[in-house]
Amino acid sequence: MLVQRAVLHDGEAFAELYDRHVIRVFRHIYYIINDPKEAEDLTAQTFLRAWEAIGRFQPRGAPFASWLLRIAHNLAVSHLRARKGDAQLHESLIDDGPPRNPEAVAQRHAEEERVRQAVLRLGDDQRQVIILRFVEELDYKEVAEILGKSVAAVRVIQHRALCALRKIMRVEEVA
Amino acid sequence: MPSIVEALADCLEAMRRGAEMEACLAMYREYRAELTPLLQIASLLRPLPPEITPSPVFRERTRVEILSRHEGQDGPSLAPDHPSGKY
Repeated sequence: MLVQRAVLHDGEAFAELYDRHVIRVFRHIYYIINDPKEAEDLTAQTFLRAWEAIGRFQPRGAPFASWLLRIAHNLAVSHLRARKGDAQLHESLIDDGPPRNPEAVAQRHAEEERVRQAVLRLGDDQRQVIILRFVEELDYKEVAEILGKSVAAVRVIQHRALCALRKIMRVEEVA
Repeated sequence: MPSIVEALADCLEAMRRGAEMEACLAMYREYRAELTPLLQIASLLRPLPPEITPSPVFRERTRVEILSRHEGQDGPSLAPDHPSGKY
């Protein structure tokens, strides 16, 4: 098995894991950072850190992809905190197809950005399910395989995550 | 009767296939009040366009760097704990 070989410091095995996961890790970071160059830098850091830490990875614990995404998330959020301000809007949020009512478009973008910020505050399981389901548009079975959970568990986490997002956004409205 | 978890999953799948939120809520009238805000939030979670990927140059460069680190190291050094540690 690739992961087990990588844990034993087989560089070729780890390079193959890199090939399999690099796009998903990059896109996960991009969702947080909104900058392709910075996302590439952080993606490289993610894999280099994972490679340094691979000896401590426990194949019987969380799946490798989930472990990688956690490293990626922590690096990206640290980077975000260090960055001065975060007023940059995601390109995909700006490019919104044919022009509509500008005020409605701006309102929609603001709401989408609020949800995105709230997603970053979720715990690991909930955040990963939300990003894989809604940002990556994977189905329940694919998400379950990546996270090493049952489809039923993914659905439960999805429900809890959306409830948590609602709570976070309500608190922000009050504050 | 399906649980709220199942009703939510069904509604999200239906909306993903193009169904209107109102049509989904009509299927689960008993959960309407609970489902409405959750579906509204879900509708604000926008997918990343598929073309957002790392560049081929970056991918190759990082791959080479990983393999070169392997050749130069005796073993992991800055290893964070797993699974309960920061990383």
